[in-house]
Amino acid sequence: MEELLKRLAVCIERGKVDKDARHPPDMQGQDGASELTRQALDAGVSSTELLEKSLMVGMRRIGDRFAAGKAFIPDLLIAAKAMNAAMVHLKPYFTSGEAQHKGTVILGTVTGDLHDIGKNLVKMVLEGEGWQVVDLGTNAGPDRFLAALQENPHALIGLSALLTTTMLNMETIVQQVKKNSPDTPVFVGGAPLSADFSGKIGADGYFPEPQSFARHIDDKYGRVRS
Amino acid sequence: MIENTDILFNIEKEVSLDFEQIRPAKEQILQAIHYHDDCRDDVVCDTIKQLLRQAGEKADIRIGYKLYPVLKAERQTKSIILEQTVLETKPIIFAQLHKADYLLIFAATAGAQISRWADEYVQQGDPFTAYLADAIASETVERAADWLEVRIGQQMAKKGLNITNRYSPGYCGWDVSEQQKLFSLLPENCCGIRLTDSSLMLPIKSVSGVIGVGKTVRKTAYKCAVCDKEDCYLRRRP
Ligand code: B12
Repeated sequence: MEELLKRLAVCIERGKVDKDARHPPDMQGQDGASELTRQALDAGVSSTELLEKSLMVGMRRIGDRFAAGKAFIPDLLIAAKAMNAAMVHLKPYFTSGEAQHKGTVILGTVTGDLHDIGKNLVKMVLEGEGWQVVDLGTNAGPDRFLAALQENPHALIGLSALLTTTMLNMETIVQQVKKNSPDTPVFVGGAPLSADFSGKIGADGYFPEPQSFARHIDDKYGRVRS
Repeated sequence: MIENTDILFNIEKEVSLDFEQIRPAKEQILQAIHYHDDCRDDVVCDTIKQLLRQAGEKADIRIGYKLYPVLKAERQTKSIILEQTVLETKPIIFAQLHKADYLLIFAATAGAQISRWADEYVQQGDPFTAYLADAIASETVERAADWLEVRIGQQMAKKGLNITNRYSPGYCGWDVSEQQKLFSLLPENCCGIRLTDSSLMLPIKSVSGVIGVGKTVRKTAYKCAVCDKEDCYLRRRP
């Protein structure tokens, strides 16, 4: 079984979706994430164990390589594709409540900004790490964050912006959130931001890429909130 | 300042380009997304090739530009002064433009449809293809701006004038909100681009900027060469 979980982790890391997938070229014809996940479940591995000992291990490995500059966004996205193929088999267990997510993150690109490629990536990584994500899309203002927070009172918040003009709108959102819910942590990211800026607007932290963000909230809030 | 400005004075144009005129090469897309280029059979290359075949139908490339004489380059404020407008370009870009006799103000777009292209794939739950379609759309408008640079370079060379690289608000310390000034210098509804209060251009896949024109200006090898700010986040740009 160990062997199967190891192989599955490699399929996730390298983005081997299923047997028919032509990528990566050197794994053609072999079982992929989809088949191996099925086999593991059929052999009695629990969904939680599968997620933690295999799928997340693979996602984490590619994530670490990405954060270190050794892999690139497409690699991350291909891995996510394989992850999704595995999740198809796991879905029934999640909805039946057997497996639990670590907590909820409300994510959105802020008022005035329509860039969402970066935010979508953060979403994918968080989901891959076992978080539930409420995606507010783009051009999201304080009201939308507050409304989402009302529905998910224990959620964390992540804000994204790609222009120096729109990142200024983050301050209003942070203020509104803190006024209504002082204990809700708010994190920020996006190309023109910095830790310095995050401190200035009263946010709880800046992360240059999704991996360090996921690691941080895992350590600090994972499983405590729901 | 050069004499006989009137020939140049009237350069104001809006042109449409066919995708084939600026078609980005697969290698350029790979470079833009920082992906290694020895991937002959991999999904990334395959998908880019497929998408490049469709990009022509999605693109609606338009470029608008207008030439203005420079009244003054003000050292103290690092500003370039045109007829009714003061462009606060800040030191790095000022250093490249201060010898210019004219500034060409431009905006370019790859069009509304290609700007929404990636969304189609996001909705299909395929962020991988979405990312590559997004990168192709971005590269398309960058290539359109390259095309303009080359063309203006050739036109000006005929008049014995040189040009600088193109510089955009939002780069090298030039505030992105200064785009409001650029758009006030361009014809109304230029290329169908709309500028929001937050200085975001719609359609998304659009760029704006200036090119310096003059006897003694010159192009630099690459943009970051004009600056030695090591910790600049802009250095992350491919
Ligand atoms: C591609 C690109 C373009 C393309 C397309 C833009 C688009 N969004 O569709 C084109 C060529 C059209 C373009 C145009 C312009 N651009 Co541009 N562009 C870029 C570029 C090179 C990449 C953006 C991108 O897609 N990155 C990939 C994604 C995945 O990265 P990301 O969004 O940053 O997200 C990552 C992290 O930031 C993080 N993250 C993001 N959000 C969050 C949130 C949380 C909570 C966390 C933890 C992490 C996190 O995780 C993600 C994955 O690692 C950036 C430079 C850069 N290095 O980012 C400039 C950049 C965004 N552009 C910039 C500028 C200035 C412009 C223009 C204004 C220039 C001009 N005057 O023409 C225009 C504006 C366009 C418009 N519509 O208004 C500036 C913005 C800075 C500023 N001063 O405001 C940048 C930063 C370049 C620079 N100068 O350094 N651009």
